[in-house]
Amino acid sequence: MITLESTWTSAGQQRHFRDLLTALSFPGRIVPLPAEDRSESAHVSMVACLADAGSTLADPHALLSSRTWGLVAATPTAVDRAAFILLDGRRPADATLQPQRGTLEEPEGGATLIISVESLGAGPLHLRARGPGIATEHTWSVAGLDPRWLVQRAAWIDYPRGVDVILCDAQRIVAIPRTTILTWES
Amino acid sequence: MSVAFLTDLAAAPANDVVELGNRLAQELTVEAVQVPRSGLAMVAMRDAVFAEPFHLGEIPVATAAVQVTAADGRQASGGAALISDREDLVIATAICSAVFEARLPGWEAVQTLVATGAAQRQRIAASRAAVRQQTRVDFSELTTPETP
Repeated sequence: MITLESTWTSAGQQRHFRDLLTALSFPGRIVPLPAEDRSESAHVSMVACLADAGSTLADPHALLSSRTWGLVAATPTAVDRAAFILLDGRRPADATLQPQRGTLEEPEGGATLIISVESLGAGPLHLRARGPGIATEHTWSVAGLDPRWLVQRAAWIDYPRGVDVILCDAQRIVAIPRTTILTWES
Repeated sequence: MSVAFLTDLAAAPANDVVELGNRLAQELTVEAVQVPRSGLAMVAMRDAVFAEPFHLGEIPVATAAVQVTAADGRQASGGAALISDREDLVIATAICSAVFEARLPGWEAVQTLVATGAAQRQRIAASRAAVRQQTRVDFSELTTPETP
C-alpha cells in the first residue's frame, strides 16, 4: 500500500547503522552507504537510523524538510538540549551553539553532531586523525567544511565529556568520535 | 475524523479493511507522513487515591499517518492508531479515513465497512448487556426489615 524509501525501512536503517558502527570503529575512514539505500542524502540517512520518536533533534540550519521531520518523528529541541544536532558544515561555526557534552558520571550524554559537507575524499581542507581505531594516523580531505567547526569541536571536548561528529556528503560518511585527535591544514 | 468512525472501522473484519485499503491504494497515490510502526506500548495510569503514576501493562499498538492524492489532484490526510500488531491493517485504516474524510472515490465502500463495524459493536454491546443482566444482584433482598 505504501512504498517507503529504504532509508525509512527497518532493513535499510539496520544497514546504515552497521555502516555507522564501521565508521566509528575506524575514525577518519570514508565509509560509503549501500548503493541500494541512496534515495536520501547521507545526513538524512544518519538521522533516520539514529533518531526516532523518543529522540531529541536540533536542526538549526533547517536542513530537514517537513516530510522528513514527520518520518523521523523526533522531538524538535533547542541545540543545548538535543541528543542529535544536524549542521551545515559550509556555514561558519557559531560560537553561541552549546551542545550537550555530558558529565563525568554520564559522558554518554554528549551530543552527536551530524555535519553535512559537500564532499569527502577531495577538497581544500586536509585532516589528519590520530587516536583509538587508527594504527598510526589517517589523512583525508573535505570540501564544504568551515574549519571553525573543528576549532569548536576541540573546544567542546574535555574527555570523557564532549561531542561525537559524523561528517556526511551525498552518500558517504566519516565518523570522528571524541577520542580522535584532529589536526588540519587548508 | 471522529473517534466513533475509527472505532467502528476497527470493529469491521480486519481482512476486509486491508482488502479495501489495498483496492483504494491502487487508485490513489499514497505517501507516508509518518513511518508506520507496530509494537508494544505501556498503559500509563494514576491510582485514584494518591494520584501516583503506574503502568497497568503492555498492549500492542500500531500507528500510521498518510497523505493520499486522487487522480483529479485532490489530497487528503488520514491516520490511525489501533490496538493491534498489524501494520497492514493500520495503514489500510489510515487510507480509509483519508478517503472518507475527503469523500474521495471509494468513500462509499468505506462507509459500508464502517456500518458493518458499527453493527458488530452493537451486537457485542447487546451480548455483554445480556451477560450483565444474568449476573444482576438484587441487594434489597439482603437488607433486614426494620422492626417497629
